[in-house]
Amino acid sequence: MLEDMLTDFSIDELREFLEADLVDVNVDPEFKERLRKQLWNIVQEQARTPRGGAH
Amino acid sequence: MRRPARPVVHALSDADLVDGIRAGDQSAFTALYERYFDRVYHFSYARLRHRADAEEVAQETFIAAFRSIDAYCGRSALLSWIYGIAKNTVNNHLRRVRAQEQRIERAEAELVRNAHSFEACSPEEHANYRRCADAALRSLDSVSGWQAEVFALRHFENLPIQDIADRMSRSNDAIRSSLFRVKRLIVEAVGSEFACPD
Repeated sequence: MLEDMLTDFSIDELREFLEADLVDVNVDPEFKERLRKQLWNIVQEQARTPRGGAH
Repeated sequence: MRRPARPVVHALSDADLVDGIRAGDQSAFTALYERYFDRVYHFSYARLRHRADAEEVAQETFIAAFRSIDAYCGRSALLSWIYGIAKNTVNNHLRRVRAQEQRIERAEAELVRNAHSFEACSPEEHANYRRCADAALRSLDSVSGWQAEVFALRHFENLPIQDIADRMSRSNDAIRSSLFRVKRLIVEAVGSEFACPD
């Protein structure tokens, strides 16, 4: 369901997403690392939670 | 002795990395994060032109993606799936910013309607207006040059957003976003000037 909702866009838009790599802006490495840790915690938390059936 | 060949995690497909993440493999998670972080962050920055907003959107996008990674069943490429989440998150962010901007504009209009005329003010009210004006000017001094210029074009020269965007070679969204941020700074500065000490 979520997948169906989120794929309503054109190839040009997707190209824009890929080309966003070319935008010249420095990322704060602390933010990137903080987010990485937060996301890994989420992944681990989900692995501990019983799954209620995938879509 | 030669070790058996182990697949290099960075060479794995998105689908393999997702399987690895579901199996609790941290290296698969890190590889996927590294593969998509710059795309999501830079895409957000390209749309919003503001570092803190881009970070907020990147964070929301990845949290939504990893929270629903179990629900991802591979009907679409992971690239387009994550792009879809990023695009929705950016659009929601812009809608929130615009709604907040409209609330501020309505509050400002209300303030103007309810204000006494400056000439009819008491000396104390004059002093308060002066403090407000000073706080507002200090706020304008603290923002970048182009943001102060955008504010002046909009509020002193009454130019439409589109004209300002054309003149500044920036998108309408970037102009709206900048105006909102500057107004928020001014409102906060004026508010703190008159805040009661605890």
